[in-house]
Amino acid sequence: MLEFQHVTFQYDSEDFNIIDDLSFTVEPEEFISIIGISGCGKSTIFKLTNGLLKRKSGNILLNGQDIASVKHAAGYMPQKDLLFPWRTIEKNLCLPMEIAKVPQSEQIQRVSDILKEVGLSDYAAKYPKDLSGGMRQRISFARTLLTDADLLLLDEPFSALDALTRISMQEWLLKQWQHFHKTIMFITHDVEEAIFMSSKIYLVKQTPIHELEVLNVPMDYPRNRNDMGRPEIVELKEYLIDQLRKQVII
Amino acid sequence: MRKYLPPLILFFLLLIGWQALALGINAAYILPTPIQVIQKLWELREPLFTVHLPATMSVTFIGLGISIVLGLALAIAMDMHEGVRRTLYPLVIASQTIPTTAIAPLFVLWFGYSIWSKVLVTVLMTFFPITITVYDGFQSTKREMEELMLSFNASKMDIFMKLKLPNALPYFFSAIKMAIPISIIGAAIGEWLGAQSGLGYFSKRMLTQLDGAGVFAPIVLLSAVAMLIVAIVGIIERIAIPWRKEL
Repeated sequence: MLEFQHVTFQYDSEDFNIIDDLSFTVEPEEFISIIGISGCGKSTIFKLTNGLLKRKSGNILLNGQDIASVKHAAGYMPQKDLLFPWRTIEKNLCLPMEIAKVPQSEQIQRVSDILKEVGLSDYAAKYPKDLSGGMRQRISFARTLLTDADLLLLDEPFSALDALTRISMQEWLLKQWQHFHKTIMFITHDVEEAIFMSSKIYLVKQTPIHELEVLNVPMDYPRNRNDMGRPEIVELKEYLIDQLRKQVII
Repeated sequence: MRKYLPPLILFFLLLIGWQALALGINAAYILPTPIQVIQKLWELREPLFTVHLPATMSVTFIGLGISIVLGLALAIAMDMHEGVRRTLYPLVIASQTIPTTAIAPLFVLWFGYSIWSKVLVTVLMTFFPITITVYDGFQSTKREMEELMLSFNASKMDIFMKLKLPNALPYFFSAIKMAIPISIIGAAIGEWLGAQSGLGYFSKRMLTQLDGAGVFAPIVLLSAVAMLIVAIVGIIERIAIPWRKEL
């Protein structure tokens, strides 16, 4: 699905490559998490994937093609929902389709369908301010789905939510992933969230990022929170925390 | 109603202070009392409301209209092209260093006593706050929102029309509310320096007759009209952009 081949990137403001000769792959319909400490360069990987940043060298391939040449390569869901306050929920959802010049009748139909899928059909005519944090994130996710991309990049989408809403949203997202059969790359710095959500965890062990340590999560889907107490999961959690703590400078 | 109480109390206290001071001075040609000004407004209601107020409002609205078009065009051009911004910005700032009252007589020389000399004064005074405020509105667009649009493959035009323009609307309304009183002042200054009608012209004529209340009456009228128009724009703003606080 997605392949980074010896990718290097440097910010103009810095004198070193934050991504340095990085290679990794993500298989189709996988749910993987990238975990690392704040500022380690996780979001840079996303920005390179969706073309917001231009790599210095290397290749980024999507299904074997250079990602820059693929239309609707990746849907991006940022940390904040970034719903436009001047647009109704329906119009916010139409945004990626308006840009893609999808006919209006099709836009309305698809928005109606997706609102049913995310359980917010009654909110089409409401404005973002009328929705709770969890609802807004569901709309933000729905908007990402409407980009028509098979690869979804979710950049700490639940980090601003309270603990209980966050747990509900994690379970909700897993159901959506299984329903829509998308490939999801999920950034988080929450170890438990990464383990509960993903089939593989890509650990950033150092910056500049030369490699990602890939760890399989030994749990089947659908996931059950009770499984988080299993010895092998606890062991994985402790390993991840230990690795991340080594990098934290207080 | 409760929220209007403090400004109303202050307003009446100022009026009482003015009345007391004017009575103390006891020379209406220097400082008339508020009651004398209101009496004069009533006496002169016909020429003030049917001739001079419409004349000043014509200058104000034409000047404001031109300023809005010019201000928006400059703000858009400066936002779209860094080169244009670097070229125009110093010029826009320089235009505000020109003392309006000193240059306005020149406009009378160029355009005579026609409406355009006054309109030019108004434009010179109002296009600046509109340009700068709306430009700031475009620039205040959140980087993350732009990145989100780019991730949808949005063009520069998409980003401008669907993101920057709505994002700048609150700034546009602030600019208009700022520009209205300035445009009225601009119109009045223009009329003071050369006109055959208008509240500024009328005020100057009353000054030559040492009629203090006659000088104040059109000024009070101008203030009242400015407050009324700003209030109307405020209502339109609340209806048009109820999401203002969400930005």
